[in-house]
Amino acid sequence: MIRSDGEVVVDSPNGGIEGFPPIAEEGGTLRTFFVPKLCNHCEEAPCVQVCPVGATFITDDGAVLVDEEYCIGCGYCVQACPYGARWFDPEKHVARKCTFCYHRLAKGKVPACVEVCPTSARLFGEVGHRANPLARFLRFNEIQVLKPHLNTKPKVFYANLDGEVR
Amino acid sequence: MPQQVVRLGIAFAGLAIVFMAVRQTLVPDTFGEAGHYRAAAVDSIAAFPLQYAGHEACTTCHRPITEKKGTSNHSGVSCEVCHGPAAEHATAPGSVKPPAPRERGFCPMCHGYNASRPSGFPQIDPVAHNPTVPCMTCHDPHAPEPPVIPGACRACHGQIASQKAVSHHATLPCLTCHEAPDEHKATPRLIRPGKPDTRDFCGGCHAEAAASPSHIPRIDMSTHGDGYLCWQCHYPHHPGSE
Repeated sequence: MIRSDGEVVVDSPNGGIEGFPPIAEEGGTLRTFFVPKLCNHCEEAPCVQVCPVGATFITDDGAVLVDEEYCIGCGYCVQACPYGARWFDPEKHVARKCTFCYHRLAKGKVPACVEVCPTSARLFGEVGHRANPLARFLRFNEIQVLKPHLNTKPKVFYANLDGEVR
Repeated sequence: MPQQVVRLGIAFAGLAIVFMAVRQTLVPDTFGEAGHYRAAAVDSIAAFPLQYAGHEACTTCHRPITEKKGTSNHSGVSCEVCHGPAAEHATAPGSVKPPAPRERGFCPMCHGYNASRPSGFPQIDPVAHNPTVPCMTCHDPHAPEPPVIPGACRACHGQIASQKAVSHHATLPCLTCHEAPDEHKATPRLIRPGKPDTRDFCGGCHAEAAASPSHIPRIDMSTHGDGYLCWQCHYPHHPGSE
């Protein structure tokens, strides 16, 4: 939410799973919008660079994954991720992350979040492939990525992202 | 060759063998095959079990309902959005049944008012919009449409129509309670529509013995209200209001 005095307020308790709190002082609101954040599957992934054992890696097809059996649970990648997309599994004591539903991709399906998004706000496809709906979407929309100045080259793109989003 | 060089060579060879042995045991089997990682991890991640079957799987068996949904406002909403991950159901349709959310809290996850939602997206205030009634009473989740107020009545009785539209009585057509002869439309002041005039009319739905759906509130007609007529205390177009 952006207030009319320019102050930016971000509020999504528990990832918004149980809904969002009502916006207080609605009169002073300039704009409000949702920005779903997930692992950006960076081409130059900071989390992969800091892993001391090679437990996190970029596959040939571009997904950033964690080898749960090999991860030593040092937590460097959790700190290194500029998007806050990694978390620590309290039971297995390993780092966890979005896999782009790699197990679904392997079976020719789209990620679960794309499958169930009720407004089709998410689109999945092969980056750099010319003839697919994603390529068409990228051509016809204003496309931004999160934190472009870090040069992480994310593979998650946002259309019509507000300038206030960092 | 000088003896010290031979000894040094033996020491180095021994160290190299120890290093190779340690490396052999510590480095996992497939490490480094595709990059600086364990190549077998990719296969184990790819073998995770599916949770979501995908909408194509539903269409195969549930054709009538997917066709109905496919032409409705919910055409873009995948079955598993509401019914939850159903991969298990798709493999064992008889033994595992996906849940169907019927409680009121579920629909406002998308349709509760939130300023961040696009304008034009149907949103309600769950507190004011027909509280206590499950959404399904008025809206079919597989083909959701707003309940229709008859245009013929609304044209003149707009205030009553919009009040009724957000009340418990939203689904009742005006003619459930009022008898309106066709002449009422031509000469509204001369030919008046009928109104219920007995307690038993309301009792038709609200009496304890009434054959109406169970979510409708019931009262004991013999003791409730102390002989007053129902509409002396309850406003029929917005029964929840005080």
